[in-house]
Amino acid sequence: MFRKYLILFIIFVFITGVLSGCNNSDVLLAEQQILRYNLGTEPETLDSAKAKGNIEFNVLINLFEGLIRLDATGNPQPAAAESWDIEDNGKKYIFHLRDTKWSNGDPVTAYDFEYSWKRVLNPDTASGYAYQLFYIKNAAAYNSRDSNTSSDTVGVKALDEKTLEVTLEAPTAYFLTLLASPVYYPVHKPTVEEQGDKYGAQAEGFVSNGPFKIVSWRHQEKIELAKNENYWDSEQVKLSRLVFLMIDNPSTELAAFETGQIEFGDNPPYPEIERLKQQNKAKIASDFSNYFFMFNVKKPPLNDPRVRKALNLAIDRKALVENVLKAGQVPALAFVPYGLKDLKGEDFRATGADYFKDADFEKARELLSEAGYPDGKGFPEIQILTNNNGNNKPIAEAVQQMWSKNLNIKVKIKVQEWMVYLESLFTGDYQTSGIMWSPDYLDPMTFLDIFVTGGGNNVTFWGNKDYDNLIETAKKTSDLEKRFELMHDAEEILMEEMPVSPIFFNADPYMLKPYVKDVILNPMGWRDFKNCWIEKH
Amino acid sequence: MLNFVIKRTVSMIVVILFIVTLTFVLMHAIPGSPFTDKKKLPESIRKNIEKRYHLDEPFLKQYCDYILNMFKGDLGLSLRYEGRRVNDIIKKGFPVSATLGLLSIFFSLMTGIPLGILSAIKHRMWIDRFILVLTTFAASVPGFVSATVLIYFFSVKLGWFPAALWGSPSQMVLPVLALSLYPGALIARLMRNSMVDVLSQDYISVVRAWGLPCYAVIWKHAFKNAVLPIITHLGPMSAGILTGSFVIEKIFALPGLGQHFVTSIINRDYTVIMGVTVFYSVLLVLMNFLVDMVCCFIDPRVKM
Repeated sequence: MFRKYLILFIIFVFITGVLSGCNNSDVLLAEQQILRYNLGTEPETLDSAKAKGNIEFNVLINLFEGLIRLDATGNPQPAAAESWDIEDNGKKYIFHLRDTKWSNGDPVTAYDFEYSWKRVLNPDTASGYAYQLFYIKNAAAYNSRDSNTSSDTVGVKALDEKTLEVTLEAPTAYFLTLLASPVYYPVHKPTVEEQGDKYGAQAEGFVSNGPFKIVSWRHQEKIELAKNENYWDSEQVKLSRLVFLMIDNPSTELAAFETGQIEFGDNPPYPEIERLKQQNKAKIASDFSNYFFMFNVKKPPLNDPRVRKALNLAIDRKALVENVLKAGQVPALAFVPYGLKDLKGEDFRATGADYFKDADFEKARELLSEAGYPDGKGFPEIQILTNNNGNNKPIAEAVQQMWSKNLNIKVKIKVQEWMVYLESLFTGDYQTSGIMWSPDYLDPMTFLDIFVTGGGNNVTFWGNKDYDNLIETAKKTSDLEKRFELMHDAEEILMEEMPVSPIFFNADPYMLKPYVKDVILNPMGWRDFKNCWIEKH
Repeated sequence: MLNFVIKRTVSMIVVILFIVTLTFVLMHAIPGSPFTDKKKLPESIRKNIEKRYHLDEPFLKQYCDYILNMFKGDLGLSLRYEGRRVNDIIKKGFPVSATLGLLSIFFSLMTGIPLGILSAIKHRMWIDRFILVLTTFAASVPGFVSATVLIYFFSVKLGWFPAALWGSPSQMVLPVLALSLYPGALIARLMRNSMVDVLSQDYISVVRAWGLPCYAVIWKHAFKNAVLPIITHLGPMSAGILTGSFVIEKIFALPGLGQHFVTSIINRDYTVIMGVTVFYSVLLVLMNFLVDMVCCFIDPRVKM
């Protein structure tokens, strides 16, 4: 008797399980699959050749599909390319394209990719981000107006409709992740040629190959996308509509979020983040940017590495992060942020470990007295240059206080308007300044190659032969394991000489309604809504 | 009359040319360019971009080209918003700013004038003092504060109006309210003072002695004279509302022209800076001209 009931019970459980399993998604999906995301401001363009920032990228990543898409941890996944072969010690890539279509039904071919990449490099296009393609053979030469290099010599060639051959200048370990950047997206040649200057400035006639297609663009107001039925993986796309709004003010964004005008916002006002986190309205995503202080080594007393190290050790990063910033940032005790993986899949930062102790005031004072300023005596007043963007000013004020308190020195702050500030940095008209740096691609090199001697962004004006050699060898070698060793060695020199003082690794706070599922927040800070869906609520 | 119009037109053109030249010089004198970025562009790329926008040409040529195109009505391509013409940006943004501005002026007049008259009638009584406190308060709270407070109460707490964006009439209520607080208060104060002045004049005493009721005294005899200072103030006031609406537009995320007035300078978007400046100066100079004409018609004592 008991066995009979048991069998019946098992059958019952099985059947209900199967039934609920079948209808799972139908039950959970809300009727209206519409997501409203606050982009913050108006994108400067939707031409992938000219887009430079995350505002533009967040729209483009949903409109287009490159050879590669990044997953949530930043790993490259096959997208328009189904598979690829790497040849010639990592200098040649052969991509095999999938059968995919443009939103107007035309097939996407390897010729589209060749055309698009050469268009980015064409000096007449004047793309500001063209240097992201300089890894390709002869790309930099073709882009330079003075060199008269023909586009035929550029190392990208469609072998047939479905095969793309790419030849690089040197083996580039992170080339696949680079391919996920919008500047490598294909563009629809007939549209680009027909629209000319207007391409990327209007929704009318805009053709894309990604999960969504554009429906309308009311400038300064909103961009509406709809599901692209011609997308090869459109079964995975659940949202019927994706609306980008342009609310610039963080407090207004919060009000719009709380009153249900948006489901997703990127800029919770800083003073409110703690409260919002407690109420489960704000969350923190990982972000691979770092914040550091640069020392202009041309300006004494900052030409003395001991002084720079003393200043570095006199900062209490934990206090700064916990009391001033309060949004999940992590104190930085080395230069390259967490999250960038080496060949074995291990974290570059975890392997490299810390290079110094946080808030080591004893040692800081020791170093300063070694440099000839016992107890800060005779130390000239130094000036922190900053601006009103983001958290820069509060951070400068906190550091000012820490330096003057812990080293007994005089520190002043000078605030400049953003562009004036940048000009001061580039012309070396400053002593020290804090800045946030976000990666161009997911590899430690994006942070380390800033500081080669004479580098365009190396505004510390520091230079070191050994460092330059390490970086150059790492860039050229095809021994990928050795490459990571070289980068670790380079970071060690950087931290020994300390032209920069790492402050914190950034975090990325955002507000998302709990019923919005499967948004991919990749570490580049891009919001990918391909798999996103709205739960019944 | 015709003489006056011709004289004013010539002086208007001179004023506008002066403004354009000054803006052009100042704009190029400030540090930074439209393509200055945290990540410095490689030299060859910077050259490509400068060539595309003719920024590699001599300064004087750039200036002359600009003036010539301006008289043809072409304000050029935005340097920041790829492929968008400045003419289109203005055509798109101005109707929003104008709607916002006109509604605000209308609303300020509709509240300011009655409050001012009431204040003047109840001169030095508690209601006058109360209105005084109220208007002082309204005039001294900056726009971004009142806007934020309005959003907090009327949309987050009470849920009566949307917090942001543009389109439906309900979305206009809060921004118009926020924008008209200051001019409304100013109008109320102006109206009160001039009405008090007018009411103390002899001809009003005479009218009163005839035994006319209060409303008739105010409406038929005092109002026309008392309202003059407000009309003269309307010119500069609408200038203030139009050019000052950028804070409100930013907070409520409205797609108006006021935003460009400020962000173009932050972005060093040369053509948009010039375009918006030219457009606003023409508009304001015309507005002042119009106000002068209206004053002439209303008040024959003003000579043309």
